[in-house]
Amino acid sequence: MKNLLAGLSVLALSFIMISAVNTGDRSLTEAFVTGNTGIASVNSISFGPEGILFVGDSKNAAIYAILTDDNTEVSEATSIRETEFDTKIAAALCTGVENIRITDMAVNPVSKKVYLSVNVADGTPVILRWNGESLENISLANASYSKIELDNPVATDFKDRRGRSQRHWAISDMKYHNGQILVSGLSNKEFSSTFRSIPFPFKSSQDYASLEIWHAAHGRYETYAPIKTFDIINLEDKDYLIASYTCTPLVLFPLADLSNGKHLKGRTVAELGSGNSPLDMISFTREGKQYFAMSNSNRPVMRIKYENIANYKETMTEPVKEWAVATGVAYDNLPMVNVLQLDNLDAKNVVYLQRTSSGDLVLQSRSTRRM
Amino acid sequence: MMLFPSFLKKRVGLYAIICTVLFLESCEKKVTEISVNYSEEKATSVSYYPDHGNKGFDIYLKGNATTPVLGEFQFKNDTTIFTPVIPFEAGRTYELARGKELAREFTIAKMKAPTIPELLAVYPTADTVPQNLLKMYFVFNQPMQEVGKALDYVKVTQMSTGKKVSVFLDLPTELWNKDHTQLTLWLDPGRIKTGLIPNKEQGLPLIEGETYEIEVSADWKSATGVQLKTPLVKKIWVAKGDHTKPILSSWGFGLPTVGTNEPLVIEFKEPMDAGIDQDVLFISKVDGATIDGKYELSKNENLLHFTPTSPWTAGAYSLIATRYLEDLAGNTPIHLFDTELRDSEDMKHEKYIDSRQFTID
Repeated sequence: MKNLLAGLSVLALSFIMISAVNTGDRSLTEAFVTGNTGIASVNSISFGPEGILFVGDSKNAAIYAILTDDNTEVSEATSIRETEFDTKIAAALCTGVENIRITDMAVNPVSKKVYLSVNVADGTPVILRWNGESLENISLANASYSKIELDNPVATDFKDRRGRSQRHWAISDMKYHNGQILVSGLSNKEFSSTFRSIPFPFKSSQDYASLEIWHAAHGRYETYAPIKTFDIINLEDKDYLIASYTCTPLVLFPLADLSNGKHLKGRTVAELGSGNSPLDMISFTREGKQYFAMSNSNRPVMRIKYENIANYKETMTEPVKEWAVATGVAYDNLPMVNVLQLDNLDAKNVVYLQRTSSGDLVLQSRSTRRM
Repeated sequence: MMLFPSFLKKRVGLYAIICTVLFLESCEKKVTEISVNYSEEKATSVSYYPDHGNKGFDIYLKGNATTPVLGEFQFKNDTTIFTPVIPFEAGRTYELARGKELAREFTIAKMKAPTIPELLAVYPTADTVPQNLLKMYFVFNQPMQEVGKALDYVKVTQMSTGKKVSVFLDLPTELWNKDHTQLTLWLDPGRIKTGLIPNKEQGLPLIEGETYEIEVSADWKSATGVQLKTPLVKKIWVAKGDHTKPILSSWGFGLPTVGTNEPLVIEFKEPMDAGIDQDVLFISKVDGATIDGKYELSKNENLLHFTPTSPWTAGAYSLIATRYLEDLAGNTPIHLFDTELRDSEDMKHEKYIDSRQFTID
């Protein structure tokens, strides 16, 4: 009898679990359609839940959610070291390495497979998956997807106005966080930065934030500076947008305040040196402590402890007097240079694309113990 | 005459059958000449006899035998069709192989008469620019390559020193229009704003009184891989900085005739940023209906010709400026570019910032 009850309990529990998963699936993808996505460019990629890949398309000024069906759970990734990786990608795309550019990289947190967005000289957008042995193409011509067009914040309210806008909004970074797609970008017409937060599954609403920062390298307040890369970090049970700008000021914005569309003043916590531009950001855990790492155009990968950011209560207000000097929250330079793309591979490893001193482009994993 | 005894005859017959089978088998394996299929001048697929089925054949870029070209094989009517993810590239050679077994190789013919890309215009078109010029536009007749760095093809020389100088902001996300035919390059705003560290360290991008030569290399390629027809050299002379806001009330109006599609001509009294379109300036009737039409700039962006889609009707109109109206230095009717931002009116994002009434009768 006991066994029967236990069996029934397991059965009931399984049923509940299966139901929960199915309900989750349906709610996220019920608005998806199957067919040609019409994606015209891939500037940024980021994974959401259940193998859903978000694609930022600057040409179409739209964000797409694509079902990858790459849902087989893998807890630990196998280590990666692939040399001449750009040559491999180019050959897989019929061309030479001079005709491709890798625009972004993202790891599917479920399967731990590495996805790359690639621009080809003729403008054809491509998303590839590295399965550990070979490259696979993610079809954009036949996919299950949903799409949201980025509202043009410039558009006026007057009726009957037609004509194609010359304004073009280039997506600089994009992340999925707790049911929201967060997107930063810059315009070809105005030197200004808009930050958007878009709920997923896509609805008609999208919020804009106008973000103001104290630019210590410049010694000024700025709203015009474009965000280069950003991440979401949790400090003292509160989510923050941590944004890095050209000339590398690091600025914190409470995420809860971002959705209300107000003009927000950020707290500048570090100036990591001008003459440099941030490239990518990730957070990771090492020996129980949380860190944040940032790759750069002209400096090594920088590592910052979360607790140092949390303990830095002040806002920088003094200008940096000497060029290229870093101030604010302390950081460590990691022995990693020329890292172009950076992402978490699994709980204990990161993966990155690095241009080595010999000019080779390497896709490589690394334990967080060495981060 | 008996050439073979009967037992040998049987054996010869058997050998002949075996040879024929082997011959046919070898014929089956032999791949015919590979045909390249084109669509809109792109080599989008190849086809060949026989139908290989899934027998381990792949296509490789010649010289790279380890990474197969990504694409899709289709097998029908004794034919194999392979469609790569990206079209085959003109001038390159590819191999059809299974492991080390090379079946065939094929080369994609170069385009016979490719459309030569040209740089149609560089804005501002004038040869005199303010010292605090904020951006330049480069307009091409066809989509340009989507790889590489634009700044590798645009070099600036300061004529008094003969040295190459860096004046444009190096952005990893290049700012092209959707068609990839127009590039925006910013003169480093951090250097234009006085007192900022980039400004103190590196000075202004352009120096008053100096002449600069902007050279656009012919090595720049179109999306189809064809080089620019000719290099372009544009000389600019740098006048004093523009530190005044554009004022709509000072503009001149050349009014059209009622019942015609004549252009409304607006004289700015200074060259304006070439990005003027309906998002920047628009015309509406007093009842709010917006007039649809075509925007054309002339006289080095000093004049705007607005040609309506429908003939003008008599009445009062408004010319409305949005916050995106800028002169060459990025000054707007409410904001000078080189102004420190504080908690001021500048922070507000009003859409419409100035207007001017006019009547057509």
